[in-house]
Amino acid sequence: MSKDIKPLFDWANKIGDANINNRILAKAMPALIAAKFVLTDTMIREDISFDVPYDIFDVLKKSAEELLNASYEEGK
Amino acid sequence: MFDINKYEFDQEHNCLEIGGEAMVFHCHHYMMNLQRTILDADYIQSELFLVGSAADALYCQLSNLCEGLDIDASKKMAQDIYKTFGYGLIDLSDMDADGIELQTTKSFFSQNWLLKYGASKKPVDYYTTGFLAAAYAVIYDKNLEDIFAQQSSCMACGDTNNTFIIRQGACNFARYPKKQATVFRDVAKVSLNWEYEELITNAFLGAHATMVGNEDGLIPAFGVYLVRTQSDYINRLQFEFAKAMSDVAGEYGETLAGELLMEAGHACGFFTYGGIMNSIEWEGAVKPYLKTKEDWIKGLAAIVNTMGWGYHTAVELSEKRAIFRNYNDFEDLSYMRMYGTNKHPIHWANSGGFTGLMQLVYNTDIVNGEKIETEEGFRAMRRSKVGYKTKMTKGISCGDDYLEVEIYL
Repeated sequence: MSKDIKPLFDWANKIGDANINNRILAKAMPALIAAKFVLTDTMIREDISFDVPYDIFDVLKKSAEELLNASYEEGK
Repeated sequence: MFDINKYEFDQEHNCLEIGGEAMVFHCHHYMMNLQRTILDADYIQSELFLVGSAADALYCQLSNLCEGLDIDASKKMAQDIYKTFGYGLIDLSDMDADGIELQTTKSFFSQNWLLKYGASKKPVDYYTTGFLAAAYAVIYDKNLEDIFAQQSSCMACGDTNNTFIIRQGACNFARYPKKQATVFRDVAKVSLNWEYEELITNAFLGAHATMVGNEDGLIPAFGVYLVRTQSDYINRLQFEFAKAMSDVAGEYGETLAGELLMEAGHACGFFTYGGIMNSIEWEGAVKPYLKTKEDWIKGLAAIVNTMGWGYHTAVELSEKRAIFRNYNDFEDLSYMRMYGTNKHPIHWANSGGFTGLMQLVYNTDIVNGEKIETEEGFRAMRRSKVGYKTKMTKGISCGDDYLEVEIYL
């Protein structure tokens, strides 16, 4: 099962710093490495959609929410 | 007050050394951004090097500055440089052979963290923790290895003051091997090739000495708060962070660390260089000589070459592409003093700063008087669709004669 991370990063960019993508990736890095999943700022910015496994999505969502001190609500 | 004028600016190498430590200016945007970047990676035990880097640099510096001084004079020296360099105010009068519990309400780190990022969950003044550990070690002839140092309250967390506890005990911060002496790379320099370079540089030479801590121990200048910091302290933070990220995730971690470290340089380039270009000093002493956007960049380089960061120059310069050099840049010299040589360029702050400068001049309307000072302005500039790319091509620590970076669209 996979899930598109673009809406999550779009939300983070709307309310976060200019380099929020890299901040999220850095915070989630140990989980990404453990899952052998390499994700970069360029991949996030250049692809229209980007599907990742559910567990990776959850890690990225948790990292984004912690950094931004806000809750991500899908579809909003 | 500590007299900065006793220390001569080295015009040949564009640097300033105080008590054996190379000193560089940084703004609060850079310092806060760098520290937040490091703290974001909460799986790294960064407290060890955040405190340890400061303790190491200050131990070296205070050992030199306090040589031959008695205890009271040494305390005054430590207090004075802390204030002069823009870190706030500390009172060491209660320090004795057992250590000190010190409180202060003037802190560059805690006040600016609150200003820029809001409340923190953890104390943020790691620098002062390391500074006090070093001061205690030097003044009372202790080994850093036998000192416990901790910040127990912080204004950035909502506390009324910062409290630091320094005492003998198991060392709780990183220790580092003895550093090597500075080795300058003395090669022929490509100049800025701008007729007003000498005029501007000479006008600002010595001006750094006016940038010292005020009654609160802070240095407000160009719309930012500056600190005059030990180059090896601030650069060790970068190098230790990159190493820690590499330990966790190899090349992926090191690359990501580099991008994050460069972002701190972008912030410095945008806010500090923008602040300089919006200043009355720029208006009066530099702007009359500026005709093109390239002149704006060269004018800025002519000024910052008096600040101790090395000799900045451009060997190619246009809106689409620029190649910048820095001879004897502070990052590479620090790296070589502390770590030796490297295979990859490590001058993220310089390169981010050059990129920020390009964005500032070509992607904003600063040359027509636009004020550059807001966080939102920085976000908008960084998100611009015509953002510049940065390629670090040469570094002194890699064996090259100078730092070189290519900035292009």
